[in-house]
Amino acid sequence: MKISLGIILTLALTLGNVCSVHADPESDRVAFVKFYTERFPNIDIQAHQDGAYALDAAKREQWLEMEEFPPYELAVDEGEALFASPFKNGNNYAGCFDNAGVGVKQQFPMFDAASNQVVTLELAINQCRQANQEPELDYLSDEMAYITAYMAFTSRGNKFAISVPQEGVGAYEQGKQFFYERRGKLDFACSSCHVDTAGNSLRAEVLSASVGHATHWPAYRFKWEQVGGLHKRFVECNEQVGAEGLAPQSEAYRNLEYFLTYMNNGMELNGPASRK
Amino acid sequence: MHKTKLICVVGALMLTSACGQPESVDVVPEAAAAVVIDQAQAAYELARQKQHAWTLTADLIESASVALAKNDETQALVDAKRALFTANASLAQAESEQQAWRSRVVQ
Repeated sequence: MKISLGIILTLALTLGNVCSVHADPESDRVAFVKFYTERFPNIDIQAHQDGAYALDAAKREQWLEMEEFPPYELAVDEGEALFASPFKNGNNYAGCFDNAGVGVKQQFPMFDAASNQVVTLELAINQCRQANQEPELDYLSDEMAYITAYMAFTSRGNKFAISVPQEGVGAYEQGKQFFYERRGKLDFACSSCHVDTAGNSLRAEVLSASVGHATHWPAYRFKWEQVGGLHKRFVECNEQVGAEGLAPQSEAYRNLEYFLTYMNNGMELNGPASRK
Repeated sequence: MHKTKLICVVGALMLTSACGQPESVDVVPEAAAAVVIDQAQAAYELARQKQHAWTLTADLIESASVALAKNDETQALVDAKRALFTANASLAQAESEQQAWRSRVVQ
């Protein structure tokens, strides 16, 4: 009898532990939003789409002045032209996306059960090119940045509404693990800066909240002097803590984007944006 | 009878184990540096597979290799040992983070 009770207790504890980690994505998102709402009670959750500029009034003022002459404007124009340019076979990007590719960024990333992987907008663009016998674009190229900038621009104001089907839970969980895993010689996780110490300063920079991290990409970063995508920022973040960055659009980064974007469900897209 | 058998088996095992020990030889620094560089490289590759490699390890392997190429065995060994240390640290990090991340999930 004593043994049976012991077994039941152990099972219950193990199950409880597993459940607390493998909470469903929606419970994770609700907890995420609650965390930031309590941490920043005077800031509307939607305002975090502006990153650190939601947290620091002086920096916000400077940023708003920069936004009066948006440095990504040319990228949007270039992207529009590239998007409309026909491939050699006469088709173009519009044929590969819902609504001819206009205002669809909020659908990405999505889990594709057929290929059993997370498909980001960048991956979908290259899949479109492949399907039309065009060479794939380098994920760090200007052309990729321009096309995504245009597609983001047409999606402004739309709200993220991505889903995690049963087949996608594994990818979502891997992205979640990546987010919370410490890396590099500084032994930092994404969450070390953007959850635990969000709102604090790291040297001269204010650390942004992760809620809102997916809304504004691609972004013109003055540090880069160009428009770049979220995965370029992932590489930079990893390297800043002394960890080796992974390849842009690698499975691990796509899963991370999947997790992060799900945490942003319900938030408005406001890309492309500018950042320091 | 049982006892004798056991003693024989244990004795044989100890003998085999002793014979398996590498000879204690004075390795010249150049050879030692090359060996440590190889060890560091192997550990670094493993850390990369686990997506936990540190940028510092690659830098140290590179500087150790450059020093060795210039016949600066002493510096090569210093950098190679540091590279191996950081590679092992990154592997230990990868191992411990397999579970540790769970405690950080926002609840």
